[in-house]
Amino acid sequence: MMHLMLHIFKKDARRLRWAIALALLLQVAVAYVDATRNSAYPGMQEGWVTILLLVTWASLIALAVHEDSLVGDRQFWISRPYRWPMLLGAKLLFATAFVHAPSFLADAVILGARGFHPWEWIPHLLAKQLMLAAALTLPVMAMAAVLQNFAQLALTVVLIGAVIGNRVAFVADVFMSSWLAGLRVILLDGFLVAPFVLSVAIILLQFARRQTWRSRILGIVSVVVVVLLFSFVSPIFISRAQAALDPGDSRISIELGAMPAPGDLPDTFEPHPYREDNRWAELKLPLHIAGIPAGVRTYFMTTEFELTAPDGRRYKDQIEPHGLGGHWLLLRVRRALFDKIKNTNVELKVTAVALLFRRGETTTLPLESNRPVPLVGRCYSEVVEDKDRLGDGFGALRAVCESPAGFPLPPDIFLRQSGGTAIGPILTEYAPSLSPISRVQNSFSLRQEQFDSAAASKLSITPNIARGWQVVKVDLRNLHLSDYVY
Amino acid sequence: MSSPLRTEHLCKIYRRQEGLRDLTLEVPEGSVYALLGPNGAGKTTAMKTLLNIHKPTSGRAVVLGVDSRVLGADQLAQIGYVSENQQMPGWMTVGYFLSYCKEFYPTWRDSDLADLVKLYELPLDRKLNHLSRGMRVKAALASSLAYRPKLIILDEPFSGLDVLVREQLIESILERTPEATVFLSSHDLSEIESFASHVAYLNEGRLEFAEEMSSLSQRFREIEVTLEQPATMPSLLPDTWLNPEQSGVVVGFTDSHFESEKNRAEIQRVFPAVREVTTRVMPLRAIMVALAKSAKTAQGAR
Repeated sequence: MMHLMLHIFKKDARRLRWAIALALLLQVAVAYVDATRNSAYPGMQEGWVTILLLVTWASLIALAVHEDSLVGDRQFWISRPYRWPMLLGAKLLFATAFVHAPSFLADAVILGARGFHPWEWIPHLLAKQLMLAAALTLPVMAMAAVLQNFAQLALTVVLIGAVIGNRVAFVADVFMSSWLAGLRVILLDGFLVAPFVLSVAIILLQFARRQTWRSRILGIVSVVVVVLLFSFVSPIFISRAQAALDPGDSRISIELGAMPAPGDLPDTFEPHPYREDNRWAELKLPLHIAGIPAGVRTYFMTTEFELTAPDGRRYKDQIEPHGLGGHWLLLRVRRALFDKIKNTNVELKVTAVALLFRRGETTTLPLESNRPVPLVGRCYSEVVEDKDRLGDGFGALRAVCESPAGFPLPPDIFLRQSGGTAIGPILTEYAPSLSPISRVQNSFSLRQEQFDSAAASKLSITPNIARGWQVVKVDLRNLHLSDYVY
Repeated sequence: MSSPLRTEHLCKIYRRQEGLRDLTLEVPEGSVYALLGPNGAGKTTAMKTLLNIHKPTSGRAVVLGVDSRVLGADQLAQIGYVSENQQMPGWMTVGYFLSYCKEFYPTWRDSDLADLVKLYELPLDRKLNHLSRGMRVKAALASSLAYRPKLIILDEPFSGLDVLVREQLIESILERTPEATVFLSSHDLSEIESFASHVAYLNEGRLEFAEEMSSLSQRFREIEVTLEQPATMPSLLPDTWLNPEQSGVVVGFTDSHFESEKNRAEIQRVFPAVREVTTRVMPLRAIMVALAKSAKTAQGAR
């Protein structure tokens, strides 16, 4: 049976040789641009070529399945002695040979070019291929198996994309720091497990039985399940899942702190985008946080709160990570609701997920050098003139750290001048891409004299080492909201 | 094995439309069995159900000793199937197509294929898409005969082909695979009359009859009765008389169960004053036309 599987595979490869050549060419282009990129941003060209590569991969897989279409009753092969395992094997071999193997090799080459030894990162590279299979190969194979032609498939992809697109964008946003950083969470909460399992079920049913309508119904059910699943997944859910998977060794507790006098408010308080919006009331509650072990820091991820008015009305919302900054809890409440309850005693229940971390050893790098940094990866910097992006500065310094493992928390990077002054970055950025390497970029704005003396400055890079997660719950009663207006 | 192909009360319903109704037939080994019927009679449905391309709604079919529902690669390796509406891989050259098919059949014979390629004058370097319909059928047949299948199933393979090509293909099938059982469908009666040993007639999914060609020819007669004087056609005629028509003193009909003595007795009973009775042997085409016409009349009466 093996030789017949290869026989069908060779036939498909012969038929689709030009599409294969295109995919390989695009793969080489993406790998080349990625391997030579010194920025966290893929850039317009790489972005378009990556999209084109994804579309070409999907088309290639679909065309290979449609070479021996499973839908219909007129195909010449269905009266020939094909065995379904060999047919399925041939199609899987095709996807492996012309999508996954080139992608894996390209990733290994990119790692090598960026100073990482590919052998040390094999599990990460394989994990990326697993995710690619769950997100692209298997769903496309499943769709091609139940649809008659490429046009039907394209239309279906557009329809499904429209239905779950916003959730996919959300997922991408949550994990934009790295393809791999959220792998365990993804596998846990079903972002990709659901499409993976359902795609496999459809593929097996259709290849083994060719029961197109049953497979299509299963496909529709799959889309509904994925949409429902995605609807239930929220940032707080993901954070809770992370806490369940990797609990930190601490007993953090939070209580309401004393409100400082107006003049004692920290001037580093960041303005909040909702502050100018009249539909919302901004509240700022002082907190007293206890139970953090010595040497451990906390970063509060997404926070969920529930406000209960005296009449029993409840208001529930989630807050972005910066909502619980330092020792302050920032809330936004609808103005209409706030006006009704601001002078009453309300109950506030808060659930926050804290990422515990420890600072590692600081490494100092000369500017415009490229070196490994322990517990970070590799970091490099370059002085660039970039007035448009950075505003008033004369020039800019871009420091990029790279790691195939991703950055649950980015390292702290400072520019230390010869006089000992430390300048912090004005911008810290990530960008999603197909790259096997996660990059975090810090930009520093330089004035004329700083720009001139940049050669004597150094970068100090301190890794932040994650020590687990903890769900923290706070129950505050008899709150008088008007006391905390921001 | 007495019958390489047998159906028992086979039914196939597509949503609300019946494709096959209670089809029971047995194809003897080594026979050339023709399944006839007008377009839409259910011939293609029957063939696709036999090949496990469609699942029967009820009843069953046994093909090469195996229930059609579980017909797999082992049986398909012994079956040659050519259909008029088969989708061929048009991008393949004839040569590549034949070499591609070869790998799937352990009994494939290169010498047989070489003979077929020569006989059919197949252009090995031409793409299937660029071939005429006749040439495509020849390529499909070559790929289905080179492994000497035990059972050959042909679904309207010759429709639209000119007589010479048709004759050539029929001859090649019978010569190359003398031991094979051939089960073919057609709505063109003249193309199978010369070589079918058995014939079955399907109409609206229902089997009207199935029998040996020789007995069918003996059973049907075209009868013309000339009366002594004009008379009204009786309303009650024997069931076996199909399509009775009267023109003056001449009454014509098709007797579907002709037996000389019985026929004469029935004519005398129905028409007391008969001047002359003419009996003609019917070619298959005429039999089928009479059957189709009779079915249509019966349908109209319902």
